[in-house]
Amino acid sequence: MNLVSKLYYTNRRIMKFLRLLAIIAGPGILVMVADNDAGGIATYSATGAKYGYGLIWFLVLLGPIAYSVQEMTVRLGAVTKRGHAEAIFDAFGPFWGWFSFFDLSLTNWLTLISEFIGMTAALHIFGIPPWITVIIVSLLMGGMVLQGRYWTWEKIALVFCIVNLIYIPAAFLVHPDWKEVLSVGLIPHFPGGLTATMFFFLMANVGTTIAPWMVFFQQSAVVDKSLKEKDILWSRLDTATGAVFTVVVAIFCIVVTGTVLYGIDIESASQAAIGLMNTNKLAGTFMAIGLFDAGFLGAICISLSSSWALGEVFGWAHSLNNKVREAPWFYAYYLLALLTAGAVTLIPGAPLIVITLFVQVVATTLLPAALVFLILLLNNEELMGKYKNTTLQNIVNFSIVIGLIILSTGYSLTTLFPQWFPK
Amino acid sequence: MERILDTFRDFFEAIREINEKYKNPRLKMTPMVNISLLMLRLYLLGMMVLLFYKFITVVLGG
Repeated sequence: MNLVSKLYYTNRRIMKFLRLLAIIAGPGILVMVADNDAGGIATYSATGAKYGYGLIWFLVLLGPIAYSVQEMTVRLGAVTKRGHAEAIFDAFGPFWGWFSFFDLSLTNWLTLISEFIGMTAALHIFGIPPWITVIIVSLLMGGMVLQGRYWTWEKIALVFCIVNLIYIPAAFLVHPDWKEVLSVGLIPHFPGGLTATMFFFLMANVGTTIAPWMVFFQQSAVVDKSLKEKDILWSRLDTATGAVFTVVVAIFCIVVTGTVLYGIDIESASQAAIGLMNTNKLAGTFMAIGLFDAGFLGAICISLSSSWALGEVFGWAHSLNNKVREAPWFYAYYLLALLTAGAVTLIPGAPLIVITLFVQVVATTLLPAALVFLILLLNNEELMGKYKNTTLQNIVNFSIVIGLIILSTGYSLTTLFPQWFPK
Repeated sequence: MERILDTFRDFFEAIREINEKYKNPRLKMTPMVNISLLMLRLYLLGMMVLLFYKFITVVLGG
């Protein structure tokens, strides 16, 4: 009897824990999975094709790094009840506020174009013309936000996060040697040495791990979801789950291309999907579906982070819980960014490759600012009270921020001036 | 035409109000904050110079 009652109460505690997690989970998982956007999948595909399983260990390291940065946005949002854009205006004044707002808007819009490029390329593999993809995506994304509830939007987005796991069955379909994956992938080393090309790949992977929109998005989502200080622990769990999720997806993506396309230079994820189809049609199909899903997830989060920032700065209504007539500018800005980015993708002869490369360069001008502001805000006792950074958190986060700034700037410079760096 | 001008006037008025509202930064300007912001300014200036250089070389290079 005692054992039965113990089991009953343990079961009740577990169910309560899972129910609470299901309610609070969302922003962390979403931001982390959306981090594996079309550009991210292209980077992982290229990394797998170039170095096989050799850099899996490096991606494992990037999970805790992404978690550390995003955890700070959770605390800042839950304690201040303000989005990152508004927090910058308030703490640092109009100069840094406007700089961050305009830079975020430009970076997000360019990234949105790169997501559309990924989505149209993915569906083009199935014979769907780009203009149909742009219309379908615009209708889907418009419908998701116009239904008028944050909760519904979030749960629909989480379904798309689950689709992102498609890289796991794809990896099993190509029959990798799992012993080799573990023995080669999990031992830190640099295949072929620490050459300039290797450094470029490391920087590219770091660049896809933390993007400026992620900082703005998660803080705004925490505020829109009305999370409070007491929810921080759960939100940390949400973010940690997302970090594990994103690393798992990245690893399986590398396993797919590392098994089938090893030794081939890959420039885009769609090229990888087509290459895979020649070897294993189903795995290639999964890869293409995954690419579309990655672009879609990136697009829904990025466009929202811009709209949230606009509403925060101008003091206009900016919640997904608002109806269109209550928050017209919020929705208008969202749809404007979406439709113009989609339209650019359809312009014949548009310099899409240049845009894709330029995204990273523009992001490099915003990322250091967003991260430095984050650290300074998290160290302000008046603002954060007992939730301010501890000494250990500061040591860890300062190291991460400095490392991220150096590597993302390095990536930006190799993109701008490839002739300065030896091959 | 008048309505369009009104919209622009309202927009610039909103920007002026935002600038006024956030005129005095809330964060105390400690030496650490000042140094961080100075470093950030120098970094951004450097990035701008590099972007401008790239733009010039692309334009001159045809």
